[in-house]
Amino acid sequence: MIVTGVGAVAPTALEEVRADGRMLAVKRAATPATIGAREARRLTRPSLLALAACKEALGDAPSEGLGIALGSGFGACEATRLALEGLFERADLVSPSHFVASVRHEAASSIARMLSLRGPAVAASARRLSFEQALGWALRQIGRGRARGMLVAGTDEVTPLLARSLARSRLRREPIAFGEGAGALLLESEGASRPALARIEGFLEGAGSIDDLIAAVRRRLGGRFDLILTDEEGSDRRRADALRMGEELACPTRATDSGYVASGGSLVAVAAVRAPEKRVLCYAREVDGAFAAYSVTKP
Amino acid sequence: MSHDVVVTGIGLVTALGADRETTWASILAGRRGFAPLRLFDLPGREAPVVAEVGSFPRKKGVPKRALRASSRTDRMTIAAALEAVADAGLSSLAGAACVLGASSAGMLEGEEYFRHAFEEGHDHARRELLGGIEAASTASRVALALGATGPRATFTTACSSSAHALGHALDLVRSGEVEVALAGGGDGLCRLAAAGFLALENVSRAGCRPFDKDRDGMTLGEAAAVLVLERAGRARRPYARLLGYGSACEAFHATATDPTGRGAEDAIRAALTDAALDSRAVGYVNAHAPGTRDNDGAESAALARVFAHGPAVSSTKALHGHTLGAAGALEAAVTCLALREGWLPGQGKTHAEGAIDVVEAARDKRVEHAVSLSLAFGGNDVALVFGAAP
Repeated sequence: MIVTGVGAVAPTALEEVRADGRMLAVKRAATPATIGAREARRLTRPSLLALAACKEALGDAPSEGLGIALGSGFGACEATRLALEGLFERADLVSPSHFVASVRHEAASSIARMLSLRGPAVAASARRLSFEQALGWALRQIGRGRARGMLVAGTDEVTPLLARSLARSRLRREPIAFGEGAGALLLESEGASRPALARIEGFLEGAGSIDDLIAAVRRRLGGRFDLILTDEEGSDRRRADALRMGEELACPTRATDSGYVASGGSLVAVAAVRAPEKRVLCYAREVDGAFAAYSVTKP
Repeated sequence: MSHDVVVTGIGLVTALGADRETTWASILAGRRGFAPLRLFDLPGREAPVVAEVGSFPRKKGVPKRALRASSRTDRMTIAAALEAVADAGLSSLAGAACVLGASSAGMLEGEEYFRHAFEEGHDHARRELLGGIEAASTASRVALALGATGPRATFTTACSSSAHALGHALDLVRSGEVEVALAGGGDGLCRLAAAGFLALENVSRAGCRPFDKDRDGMTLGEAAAVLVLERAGRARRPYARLLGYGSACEAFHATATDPTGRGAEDAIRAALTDAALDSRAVGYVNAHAPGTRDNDGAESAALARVFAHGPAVSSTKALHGHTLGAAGALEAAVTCLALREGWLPGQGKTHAEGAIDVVEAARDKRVEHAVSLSLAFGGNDVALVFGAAP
């Protein structure tokens, strides 16, 4: 499976949010210039970020025969908050538009509508494996011949509510930064008309320890890489995991600097395609032990 | 290598019963599980008629970690998964996949977080309640509860979520990536969904009447449905073969169905292609048909184009309600039961529009192939093709 387009909206600006009596740094993304005023008014922030990334990945490729797979760890948190505000006093005043915007796959269906993607479509949500699950599903759709190609994206917003609620449980243990952003790949099967930027190989998923993940990578991918890339939130445990991966596979390890974006794997995938290294291992692992990995190889 | 895939276990928690057999017996009897909402209040609204789950079994032996701070939806789904695994006669799920669909998931508990946050401030709300709004929570807990150590996934395309879950699980088993997969979904009623659908004015006043010329909307429900998929040849007495999976996006509107039914048609044709099956071989369709004016009309048009030979059609939502993220798996389970038992489920008296052969009372008829269709908000349409077990 080859990558013929990439797009990303990465966080840049640091902002501070008060959480549990202390100030918490969050990384915000600027609204992309490719988003028009009408789109910005009508879309939730996760949809808007993902749309910008998808537009960039799609470029001038025709949408005929394409589907979409979109991962989001938390969906439209702000829309959910708005839909719930007042619900407990007056359920008859819930806004239909806030309700519709709060539906978890709103970003995937909005992008499909705006980019005329009529092929297979899905939204996946699995905390920080959200993008990887969307990617695995998309690879199978192309592999089974159900789609000519797939836009695969991840998106998450950071809101004061989300930052506060996540931070309350995590800050006690380790300092982490929360971010937002979206990344997208255009995947096509071999023989696509557009040139290949990279090839996705050996997608694997499972559950277990970091050693189980390393063993699975060796078994399925051979273990020879020029770079290991993962996302970064600043936690000690994840840094230890990354170090272990690097030592065991004898390869330098790098992390994206987006902070904790649940679907940050999408930014990892884009960074892997853009990196100068020829063969890059991308991986992600959740606290419940679920993991996914794949390699990005340049022509 | 491609393996044949069979359904070997089914677990159900529905408004019709807390297990598979009670639910199926109720469906065959044509009993409706509808009553005014009791689970929570909706201030400013009259309690809508819903399909609410009563009590359901809480089995011993589930690790405490899987249940700590769990949502009602999590617990319903664990109960359904335990029943499905026992039904399949599996003693170990080492390496098994766990693929679920969810829409509301644990939003009922998430709403309590927001209630505290709005009233007392976010720093005073109980963080663990917010876990419910993470859709992946249920798959994580089911995998932990049952020791499923293979791949996990959660799909969230509203009413077609768990149909996607079954389709993905089919791909995992068919390709040989896993030998066993738990697949399905769970969704509990919550204030947000109830108030939201009422705001959209597509909830029936007295109970839904799919395909009826006087239909007036859907009946919200809740359920958990889990199916065990295995490579063919491993199982003793499978319910059915899962032959094909197809999906398409209407790319039409945020909530309204494309009146041409093109998305539904594309999904069905994709699933038939995946199953390498001619449409004329299909003898029964478990339709999505929630009872809304737009959806049922568009779906009828799609069915008429794909299935010109006029197979039997019913929407069992007339009995168990529209269970959102669980609907695809619940209706797939009903389709599998119909194939194995040789009974096509009915949907009650219907003054149907058009030429669809709507099954009103359960019909004693054995068919070889059946389709379960799930359509969703945003036009995320999914079809699954099943075949009678050999």
